[in-house]
Amino acid sequence: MEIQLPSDIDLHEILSVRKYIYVPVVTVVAVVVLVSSVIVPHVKKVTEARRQVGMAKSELSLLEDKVTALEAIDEQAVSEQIDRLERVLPSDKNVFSLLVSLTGLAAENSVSLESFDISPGSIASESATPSALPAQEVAASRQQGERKQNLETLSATFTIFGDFSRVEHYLTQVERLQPLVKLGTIKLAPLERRSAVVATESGVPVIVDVQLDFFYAPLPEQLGTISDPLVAITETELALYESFSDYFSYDAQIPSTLVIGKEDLFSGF
Amino acid sequence: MKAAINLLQETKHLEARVRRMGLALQTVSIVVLVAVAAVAFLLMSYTFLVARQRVRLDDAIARQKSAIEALRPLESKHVLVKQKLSASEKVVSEPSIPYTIGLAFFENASQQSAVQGMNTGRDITGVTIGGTVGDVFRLVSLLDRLVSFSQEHGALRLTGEGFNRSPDGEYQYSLILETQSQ
Repeated sequence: MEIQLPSDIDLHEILSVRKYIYVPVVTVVAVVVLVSSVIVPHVKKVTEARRQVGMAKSELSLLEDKVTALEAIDEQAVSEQIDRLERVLPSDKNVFSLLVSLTGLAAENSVSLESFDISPGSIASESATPSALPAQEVAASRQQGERKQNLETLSATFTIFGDFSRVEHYLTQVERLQPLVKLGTIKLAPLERRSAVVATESGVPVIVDVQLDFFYAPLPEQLGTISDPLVAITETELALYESFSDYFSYDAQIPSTLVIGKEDLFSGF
Repeated sequence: MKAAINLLQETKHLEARVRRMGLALQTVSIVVLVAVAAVAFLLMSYTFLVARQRVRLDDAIARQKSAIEALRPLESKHVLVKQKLSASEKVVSEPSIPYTIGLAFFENASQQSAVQGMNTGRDITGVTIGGTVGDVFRLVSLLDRLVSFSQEHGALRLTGEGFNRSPDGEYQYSLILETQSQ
């Protein structure tokens, strides 16, 4: 059998498909270039930008909440709170307010304040008001993540004597004084053992050596950053603040008739 | 007889098939290219939108910060109140020494003996009291009374630290009343 091929058939031309390959090849190259130079970098950029937008949104929300909270604060009420709290928990070593309060309470309860001893140390320097700490120390404490309570203590000792019932009342009242104090030690003994005072009709005379802690809170060293949220005052703290209205305070009063000296040394009083 | 096979038909058929496949491949390629370009465009547009959103947020944050800066004095007052209240709460919540029960203990013991003293404090486990009684019967009576007292006041324990008889016949006692903090 003889196979007869047509003379005009070009097998090479039939099998040539190259003209259909150009576009796909160009497409593959273009896709690779687009993906590597545009899509992948932009995906990374968008991911990072979305993360930053998320953070910015939460920061904005916090700031808006803070502004709202700050605008809701009654400035006059806060000033009154500061005044009262300053009497309850002074910012400095206000030893004299403590002495005035202890003396006033003693006078009110008819007990005698025999002695008073306190060593406040420096009362008008950086140690008296630690808010004036050097910036390096503040930064160091911040780096260490220390959260100082800002509560300092001074120890005072004093002796009172009087009838037992009155001394008892005095001691039960002393922890309700302004500024805040906390009894540390009580040594109670009958007065006869230490002096020749005769017992009165209203009770056994006793003498008490008292050691107490006097508290003060230096001003905060730093206010924090603007973005720090405003810490709200809790219900417990509000209740505590209200309870401070039951605390006693005594003002120092200088009698107008107090003779403090003579202008003419040769004249009689 | 002369037989002939016409391959031209088959060739044309193959050529048409190749052309169809080629056109399809080109079409798919163009579609893919357009799709990828569209994705790239959308991605770039989205990046631009996100960047604009970021700028708007930054502006809003700056406005809020300046508002807070203006309210900074008020914030400092609030922080001071908060700090003082927290510190006060710490002081007030700290348990007191058991002076109330100590005073009652002293008063109770004083009614039957000559009490020499009563001590209480943070470094003492409770209340210590010491005194003298005239004879052993009064001592026993006193102890009975004080045991009842400690039970009534919910004391943890009443411990006899020491009992001594002096040459003149008096009995000295020293007691510790362990209590829970007030």
